[in-house]
Amino acid sequence: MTTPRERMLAAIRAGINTNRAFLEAEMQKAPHTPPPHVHPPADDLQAQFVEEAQRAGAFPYICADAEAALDAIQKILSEHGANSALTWDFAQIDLPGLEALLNQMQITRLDTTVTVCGETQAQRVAHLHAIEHASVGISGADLGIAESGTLAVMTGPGRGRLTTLFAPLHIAVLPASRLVRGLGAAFDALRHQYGSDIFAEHANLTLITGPSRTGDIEMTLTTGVHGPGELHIIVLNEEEAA
Amino acid sequence: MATQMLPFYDRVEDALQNSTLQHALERNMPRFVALRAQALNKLIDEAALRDQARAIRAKSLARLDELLTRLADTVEARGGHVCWATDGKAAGQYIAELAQRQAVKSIVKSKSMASEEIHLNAQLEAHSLEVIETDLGEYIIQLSGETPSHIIAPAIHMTRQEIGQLFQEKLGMEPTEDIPTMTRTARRVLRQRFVQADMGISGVNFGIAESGGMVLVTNEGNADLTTSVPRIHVAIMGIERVVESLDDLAVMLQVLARSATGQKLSVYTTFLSGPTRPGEPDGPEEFHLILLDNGRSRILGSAYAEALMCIRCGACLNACPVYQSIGGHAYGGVYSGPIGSVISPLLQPDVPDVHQLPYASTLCGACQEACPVRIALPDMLLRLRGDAVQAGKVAPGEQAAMTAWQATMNNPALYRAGGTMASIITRLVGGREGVLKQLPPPLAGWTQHRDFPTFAKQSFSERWAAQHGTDEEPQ
Amino acid sequence: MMQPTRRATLFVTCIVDQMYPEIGEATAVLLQAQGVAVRVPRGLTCCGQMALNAGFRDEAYAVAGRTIEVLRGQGDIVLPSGSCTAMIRHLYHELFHGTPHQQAAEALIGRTYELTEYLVDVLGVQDVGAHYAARATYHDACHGLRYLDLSRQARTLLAHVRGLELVPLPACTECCGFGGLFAVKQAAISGAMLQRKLANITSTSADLLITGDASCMTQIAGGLKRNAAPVQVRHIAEVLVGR
Repeated sequence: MTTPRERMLAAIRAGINTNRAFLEAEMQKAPHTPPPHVHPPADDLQAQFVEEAQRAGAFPYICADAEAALDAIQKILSEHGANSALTWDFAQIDLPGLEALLNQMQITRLDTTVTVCGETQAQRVAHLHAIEHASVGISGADLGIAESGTLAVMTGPGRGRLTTLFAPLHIAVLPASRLVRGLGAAFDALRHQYGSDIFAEHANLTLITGPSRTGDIEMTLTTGVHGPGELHIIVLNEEEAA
Repeated sequence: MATQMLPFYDRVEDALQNSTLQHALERNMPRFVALRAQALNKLIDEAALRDQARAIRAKSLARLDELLTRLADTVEARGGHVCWATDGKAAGQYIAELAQRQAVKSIVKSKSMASEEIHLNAQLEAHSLEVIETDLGEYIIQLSGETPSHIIAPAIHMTRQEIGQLFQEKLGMEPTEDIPTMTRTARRVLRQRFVQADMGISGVNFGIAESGGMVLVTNEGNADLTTSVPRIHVAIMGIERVVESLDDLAVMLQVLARSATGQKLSVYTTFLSGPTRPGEPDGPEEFHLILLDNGRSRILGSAYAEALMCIRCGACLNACPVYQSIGGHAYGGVYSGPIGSVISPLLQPDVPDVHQLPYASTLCGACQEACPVRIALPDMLLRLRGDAVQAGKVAPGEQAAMTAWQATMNNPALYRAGGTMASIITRLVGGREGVLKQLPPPLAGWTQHRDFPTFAKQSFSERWAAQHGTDEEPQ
Repeated sequence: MMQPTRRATLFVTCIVDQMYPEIGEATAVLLQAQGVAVRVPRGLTCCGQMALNAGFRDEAYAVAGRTIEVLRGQGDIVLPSGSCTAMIRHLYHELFHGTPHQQAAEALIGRTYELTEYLVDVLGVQDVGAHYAARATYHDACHGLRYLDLSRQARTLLAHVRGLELVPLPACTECCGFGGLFAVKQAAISGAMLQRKLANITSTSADLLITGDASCMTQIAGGLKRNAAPVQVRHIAEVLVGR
């Protein structure tokens, strides 16, 4: 008796054999290596990132030092009347002083732990209810992709997935040194950082380009349908000051 | 009766008479087309990128057995489970049994064409499982009991007034025509569904063989919530959606969003490799990947293998003047537009009049031109027509007419005589004005919308022969 | 007239032969004026597209197979139709693959040209010296546009026609809805597509619509006539000989 896996693979092989000549000819018609970027290269990566992030509906800020970055964050938080936050572990966000700022603003840090193996569904739901009204999610970011205004965010221990997703407002801190030109370059940088199989140690990577949006009603653009309705990106460029 | 169950011609007539739909198509289709063109025009080398994308899709198919094996092995090594589903029933069965075993009560789902192809919701509802669609467009049509009318804009056929009314009735929203209010209402209601759900079901845009990564692309973020909030994540992937590597994916992602909506990247492009890892604060405890065949391996060995290169961007729908005229529902199946006319007869043979779909095209080629991987859709539509004729699916009298046509065209004397006869008759009926206002069936359709010219008094070849003499007649 | 320097075989297509002989004559005149000796083989009928398009492969094969034989050894073939040229150049490959006609089909494919393509790309002509007083707009017929890459050739030729004001047609590359038997079998959809085309044509306030395919002409002219729109329809060959 054969397993479904064996049956399916046998059917697939039979199919390939019928059309092998065509498929192999087609696959050889172009190289498969991705271009590092697909738009004409901009002179100023940071300016391109800012422009593209804005085009995608995000709010980027260029901050020359940690102090400026904290100022910007403080302003965003007070404008939104934020009182509770989901954050990554502070060690995972490249901005010293963030914890002190949240304490000083009396913003409660909620426990982002949702998955505890062995817990019941009711316990999981309770964890989710505890964070569902968080005002803001604050995370770091692995990379910024200049030509699309995209953040690359690898999650893992101390870096919750829901931090970037659950609250109506998301603030991400991105060191300017982590800007790359295009998607191909971004994957190269991720492999450099996490090894050739970037998912060996990490289960989740998200590329975020602007705030959550939909055009499903009369193709009218509306933000915040499921994820954050506002995305603020703090680009920390300490070299700019020097 | 739902539109989808009607005969094809009635579905078309319904669509053409539906003024809401006509208004939506007229307003929105040109926007999709323009956004796509603008996005692709800005690339350094659009043609080269599309050539690459096509070559990569061809590689995925040429090495499908090997890549799927690698994908499945990697997923299992990362603690995920893999189900090889030969058909839709096997997929539904697997999920239903999993849900029962895990005492699942509530399921949230992000948009997945593969799951709609196999009527997964109906299969699960038959097991008393509740499935909530979370893509806003899909949620709207689920509430209204319809089916998607467009691959990437499922509720494009509805007005804001209709949707407002629906939300008032089903969600208790205060009367409004304000779209952000409707969106906020949906967010609030669906967020509770996410929190309560014990299982999330998603589709897969691409599966990466080398790392076992599932790639999901949305603008709303509903796939992210579907795959990270509930305890169990089930991903359904058509077997053709595999790519070998992150590098291959880097090319495919560059054409997907641009072709679909004109965005450089969709808002959320999410990669998931197995269940949550030790030490992670969130993510699913269990991950199940369903590899769905449901006729795809048969297509791979047929004259339609190229259709499996499709990445479901919807560009061919938007570009198609027939789709622009009738929208998605008239196609009857889950897949509409030119790609739907090719794959519905192959993947959803139970759609009423499915053999008619390949005839719903002028073969103008706009679809192939728009397709990011240049699928030769018109050639395949033509082949499907040939298959339908070979299978005897022809209108009464059609075969006789074609036999007569062949005899006429292959016999110059008969051809001349036929032409002379047509000339005499049409000029007699057409009279001084020189046009025919009404043709008899089966040609009557022509004169419903336009006049028909009379044949010439003397054909070109007769005139030429009269002026230049005749060569020896070849046979 | 110039001394002929080239020879070409004119295949006017069945629809021009029976319904629009003046297009065939204009094509012959155009070619002769460029020093091409034109030959019209007796007994040439149809490329077989209508049957293939409807799914009747055997019938299409029989008719196209005979056409290949009639055109065997006839030098360059010129057609005043992008659609029939595309049938030969694009679809004959598959239709005759692995059949006794394959070699003759491939040879024919290599020497078959659409009229404007032949004039501009083969003969290197840009100005045929025509006069035509009209405000005109141009519809790109689908098969020529997408299978033969036609677009620039007709516009080059028309740009040199004295007295002709060429205004852009919105959505000029969108299908008119003809599609062979589609216009009859899917008459309602075809009618909807035609109405969009007509609206675009009237929006230009042109008094002349020019196109390169007699089939599109039949569809568009029939619609304009039904709507009593004051727009004339001409094949590009007619305009280029000033008729």
